[in-house]
Amino acid sequence: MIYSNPDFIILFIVTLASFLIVRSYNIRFYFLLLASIFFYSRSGLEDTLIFFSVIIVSWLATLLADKIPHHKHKFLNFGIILMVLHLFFWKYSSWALQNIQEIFPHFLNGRTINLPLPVGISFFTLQGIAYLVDFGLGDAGFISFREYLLFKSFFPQLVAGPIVRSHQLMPQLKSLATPKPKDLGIGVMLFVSGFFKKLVVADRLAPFIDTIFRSPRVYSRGTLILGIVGYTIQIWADFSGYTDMGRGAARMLGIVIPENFLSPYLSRTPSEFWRRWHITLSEWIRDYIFTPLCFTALPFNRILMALLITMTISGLWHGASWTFLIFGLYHGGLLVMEAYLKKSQLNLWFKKSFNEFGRSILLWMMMSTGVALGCLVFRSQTIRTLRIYLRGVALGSGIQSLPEATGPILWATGFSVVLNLLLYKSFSSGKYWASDIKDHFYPPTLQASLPRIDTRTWGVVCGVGCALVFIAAIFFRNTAKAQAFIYFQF
Amino acid sequence: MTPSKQPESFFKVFIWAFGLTVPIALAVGSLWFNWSTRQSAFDPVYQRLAEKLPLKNYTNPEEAKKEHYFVGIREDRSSGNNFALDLIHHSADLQYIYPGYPQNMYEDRDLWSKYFSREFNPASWIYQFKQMGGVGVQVIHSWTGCFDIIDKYGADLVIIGNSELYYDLSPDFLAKLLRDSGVPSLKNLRVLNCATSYMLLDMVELTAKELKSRLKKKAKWVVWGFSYWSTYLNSPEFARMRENRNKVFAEYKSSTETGPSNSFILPKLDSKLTWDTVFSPTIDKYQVARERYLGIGTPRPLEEGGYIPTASLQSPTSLEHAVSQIKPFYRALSNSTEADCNLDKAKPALTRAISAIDRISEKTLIYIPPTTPLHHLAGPACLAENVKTELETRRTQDRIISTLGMEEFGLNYKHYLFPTENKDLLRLDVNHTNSSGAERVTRKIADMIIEKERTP
Repeated sequence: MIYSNPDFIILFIVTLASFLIVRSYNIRFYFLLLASIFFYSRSGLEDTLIFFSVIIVSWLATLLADKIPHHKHKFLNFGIILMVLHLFFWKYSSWALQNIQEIFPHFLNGRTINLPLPVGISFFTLQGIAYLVDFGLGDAGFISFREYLLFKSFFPQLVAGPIVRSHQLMPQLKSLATPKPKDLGIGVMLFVSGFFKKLVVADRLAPFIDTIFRSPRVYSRGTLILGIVGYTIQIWADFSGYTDMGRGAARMLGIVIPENFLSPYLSRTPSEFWRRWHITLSEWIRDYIFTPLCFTALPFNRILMALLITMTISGLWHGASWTFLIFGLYHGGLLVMEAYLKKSQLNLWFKKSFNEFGRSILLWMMMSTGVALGCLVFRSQTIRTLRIYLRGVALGSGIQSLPEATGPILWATGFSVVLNLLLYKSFSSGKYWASDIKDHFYPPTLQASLPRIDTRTWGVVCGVGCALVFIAAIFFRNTAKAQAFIYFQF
Repeated sequence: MTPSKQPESFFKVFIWAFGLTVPIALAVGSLWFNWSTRQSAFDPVYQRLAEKLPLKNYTNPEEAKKEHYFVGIREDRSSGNNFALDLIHHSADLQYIYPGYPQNMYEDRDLWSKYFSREFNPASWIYQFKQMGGVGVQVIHSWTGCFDIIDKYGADLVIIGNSELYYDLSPDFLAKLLRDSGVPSLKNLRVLNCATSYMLLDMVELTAKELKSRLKKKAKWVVWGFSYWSTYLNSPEFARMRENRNKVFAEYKSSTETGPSNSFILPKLDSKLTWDTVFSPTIDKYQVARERYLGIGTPRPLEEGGYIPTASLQSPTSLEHAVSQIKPFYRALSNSTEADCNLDKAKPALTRAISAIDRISEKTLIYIPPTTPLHHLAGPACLAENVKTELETRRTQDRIISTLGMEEFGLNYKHYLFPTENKDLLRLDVNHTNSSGAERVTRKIADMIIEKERTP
């Protein structure tokens, strides 16, 4: 089920109504559980059975670990291994077999396997592994099966994240308080902003990007560069739009889900980018892969090797393809390069030669180019496509253009830059950039002298504005067909 | 102040304002859209067509297909101002798309239900619609849908080929010319159009084999528009074309051969409810309606062919000058060199395609669809010449071969020009004829068939 489709909105309105009307915790709980299971069951029977098997296996591991404490770690480790194997089986086995058969064509008599890839498998498996590890470390307590079932299947975070940990979600699921007007209001704003990003920005860019990436050989250099820029914007609008809708839906039910994006395209360094992009995945790999690897004997520089390995795994986590492996290695390489450059003479020269603003602009431009190149690797389905695309950009051998794509891509780029700027939150001051602008152009003394808008009037203006953005998103949607979210495939 | 710092009263008012505005804005949007689409009906061509045909005001081909409507494309609005035709509920009008079939075929709802589940791809000129509206009209139909028709109702004349064929051969005009010829064997032929884009040599063979497996009796005639450039087997474009057609064909085969399953399968609960069912207006549809009403639109830059000023039609010299400003380019022929004129690799594929066609028809007409010199100049000159020479060797008693060029078909550059929304510009298509060009080519093809039938 896609958040931006009307059937989700109907399901959600029914669930929300039950929260607003019914006071009983148990009824709310089961209503939410049923809605979540119904939400996932729309992916099909196979997906649903696989999803439930993961839930049952991981919960049984914690049950046995809880009941037989002296074998706790054995059960948990067994559960984790099973989860990793299950992820490998569904996601990577056919790819691995295909690669083996490229070297040994007669392996298994050349037979291939085509397994279904359950929707959101990477997300719910990572969440399950995190719970088992946290339980083993004592950071998460044992929970009943019905609570665990809701924790895993809670629909606003189910199929494409954010990857929510038990300590973030379980206390809220245990109370299921009546949503306050503030929850409803913020939830609506988040949902509408995500809805707009998905329907108007990502879905309208998708046909152009698909066209360019389908036959990169024929397109001119300018069109290919436009394609890279367009996809960079599309994936942000699509994924952050999904997250906003999920967070908005959860917030309307009174449940707070952590942020997953903080203006990532304004990052100036690779490490800053990963603190702003898909934050919950970055935290997951930091806590469950990078940190344990740092305590392992690794050749050369232990930390940098751990970084490279972690990012490569993170790349492969996105999908079974060599280009995802290259994507991971590429970002790992950028992080390693950053670590080296920070300590080099070049950094000192750079600091001496430019003031802070100049440094920020230069770094941002370099990082944006780096991110866009990473997006090109990410979008290329095969190494061959990537090679053809890069050759097309370098040699400009293609001649075809796609003039109808220029307007939408430039418009979407402008929109994303403005939105990233307005929502840019500085890590050092914790302040939003928008509030700095306001203080700069309207100093507090001037703000005090301006006529104050009545809170109610302001509420009406914002409510009507938000509704108009919602309707505009429906009106401006792509008429061809609704596009599935990019991250559903992972 | 950020939203989280606003007082509770702000959010209370916010929610009410949002909740009330959404339904009001949806209602206003619907009314506005209906008004704007009604405005578009003032267009005189639509009015003329609407008097005789069951037009429906749909603008998105996919959406129209879901409703089992055919989609018409006007020659003067070929960039997208389409209209839908409800021919299933006005079955007599289906004779224009598939001429010569019995009325019960046109009324066979099961057949059309299957037909509309297929991929729709080629768009053929319908001569009778031009007579009604005064402007050429192409109708989009289905390649794999023709297999459904032949399976149940057979065919007397089958048309095979790619876009160059379906742009220059009008099935209903061909049927009319043959009917009016007075030759008894050409009276009331069931004409089945099985053309599709990207019909390369191997796809012709595949199509003929599929038709063979479904035909109970051989067709009297097969007309194959053989695009000479499809012998350039090294074209990088061909892989994409082949993949596209193979995918469509595989989908068709899997739907016809799998049959109903008796195992328990939980239905894939894909969303049946879309925004179109809840709120159909979109900015795209509004713009189409507006352009239709105002008769405006922006011509898109072309890579194959180009735009020439309408004023250049005043004299042959000015037309020639305007055409000379356009660079010869045809994507499928890009990268081709003189080395590609060697047909050794293509000959076996051509032989297989011809033998497959021979198995489904008593007589065959193979012709090279006439294209412009600009199209020929995009590749080496020897390619077209070698193909013509090779094709001539395939002539037999029951196989007519035609390798006539543009001028021999009575065509000139005017027959490759299409009006645009901008009345000062015409679009030149290097290898596709307009509706007037199609009439000339169809007439010539009909003459060849009639002459053959008259020869003892």
